[in-house]
Amino acid sequence: MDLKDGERRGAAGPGPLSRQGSIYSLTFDEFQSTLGGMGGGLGKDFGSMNMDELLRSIWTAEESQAMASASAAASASAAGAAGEDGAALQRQGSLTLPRTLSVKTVDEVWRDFVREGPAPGAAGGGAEPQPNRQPTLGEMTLEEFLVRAGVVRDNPTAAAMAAAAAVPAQPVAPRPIQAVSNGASIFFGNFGAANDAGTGAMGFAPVGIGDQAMGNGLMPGVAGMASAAVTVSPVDTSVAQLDSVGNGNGDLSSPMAPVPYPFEGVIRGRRSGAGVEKVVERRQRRMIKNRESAARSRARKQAYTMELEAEVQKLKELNAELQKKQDEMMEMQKNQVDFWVKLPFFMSYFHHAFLFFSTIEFKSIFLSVIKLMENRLLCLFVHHTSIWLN
Amino acid sequence: MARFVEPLVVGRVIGEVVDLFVPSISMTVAYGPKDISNGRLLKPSATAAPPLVRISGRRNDLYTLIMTDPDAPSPSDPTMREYLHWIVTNIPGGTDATKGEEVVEYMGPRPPVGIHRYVLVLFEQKTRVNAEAPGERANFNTRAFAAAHELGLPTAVVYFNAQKEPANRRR
Repeated sequence: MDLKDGERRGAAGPGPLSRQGSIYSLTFDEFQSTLGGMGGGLGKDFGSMNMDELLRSIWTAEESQAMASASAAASASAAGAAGEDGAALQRQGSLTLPRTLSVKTVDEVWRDFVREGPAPGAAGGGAEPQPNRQPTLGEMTLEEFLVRAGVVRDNPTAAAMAAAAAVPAQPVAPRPIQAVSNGASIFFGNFGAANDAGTGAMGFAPVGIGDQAMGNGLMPGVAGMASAAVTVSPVDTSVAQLDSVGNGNGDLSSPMAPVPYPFEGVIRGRRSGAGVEKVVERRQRRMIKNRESAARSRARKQAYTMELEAEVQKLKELNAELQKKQDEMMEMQKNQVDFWVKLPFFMSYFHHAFLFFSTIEFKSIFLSVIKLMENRLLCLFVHHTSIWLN
Repeated sequence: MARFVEPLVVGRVIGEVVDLFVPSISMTVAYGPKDISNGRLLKPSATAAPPLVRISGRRNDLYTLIMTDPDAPSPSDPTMREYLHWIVTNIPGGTDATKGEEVVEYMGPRPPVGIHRYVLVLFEQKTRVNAEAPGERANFNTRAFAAAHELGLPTAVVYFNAQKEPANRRR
């Protein structure tokens, strides 16, 4: 395979030469200064770049490098035609994705990595005599690179392990995993593509990545995904998509545009994904609780208002009823008062008749009159008889 | 006087504790001198002693009074719904709850989190009830209790709210 070739050359060949060949063999500082020196380098510090900018700058740097050594790249690459293709694409587009890699599935690429795995022991032995200098960009793992670039700040291993652990539980959270695996495939495709498209001096790069990433637990996630049959299919589809694009030889820029986004998604979902998700979930739960609480509060207030309104209504009715009763009583009392007030006048007007006709009075008067009369009569009778007797 | 059931519906007492019913008995609940109205916010300290619950109804009829908290331990996560506070059975109509038999001793509201509803439900009994106190107060179910003792739908419901009082009161 071409990777093997490249590696052998990289291991055998002297450092400085290979370092000249590609940006991947530059140290970080060198790379940065190179970018700074270049026209398309944006002149920005890495710390202030976002991921898109960083990638773009790498690509442009790589492109210019590739253009400079286009013929060398074409000849050095084992898959010559593909290399030509890749170079041509580099010149016209911003992204480098040669056909040799895009034709491969992630599994194949990964298998290559694994197969290369044991080799670095010997290669490392060859490279050891090099002085204690900064690791080159190509030797760096992605994680180191990203940490240096300021994209990732927290500890990656835990998140990576969590991601790896989450993989078997596929039905629980199918979407994030899919996204991760998708992004992962794209991501590794990019890196591998860059390696492939570069000159033979880049042979170190894949080894370094495969090796160190393995040690860091970055790869196990991918390995787990590859072994889990369920998640392989989305990976395949994504690769197939890229493949068709590569074969079509059409305008690469528009279909490639979405690539950086999944890339970013990977980093987020992979690194601090668990933490962010937890925080987001917690926040959402809190929001929902808050809304429920607000709804309850409203309901409570409304219920109490209704109760009070009902109470008011009830009291109003009661009040009206009492008012009515009071009015009636007042009327009655007034009538009674009238009666007693008018009674004396009434009595004075009809005093005699009243006295006369009120039965008891009438009777008693009548009786007394009769008695009187009787007495009178008796007296008269006695008087007359006495006269007569005398 | 028949109480309106709308506040009970809006306050979700009807639905979460009892089913829709038509009040047929008047029940007044008084902590201290004042009758409480539905949805009123009371302090737990003011409700530590059992309230005076007076009911209308005929002297020959017997009634059961239940007091529960459907919001325990927290209104947003009522895992203990309902928390039982009081059961009095065999209350003669036209009297008050002290004339009945206290099956479960009164326990004052002690809401740990949030504003809780405390619901007093009155059922009319068909016959004399010999109810046994449930094993624990948590996860009581008024509907199930009513079904178990053939109490049917409630005849009166009063509820109030209570919230935990701040621990340290500054003067």
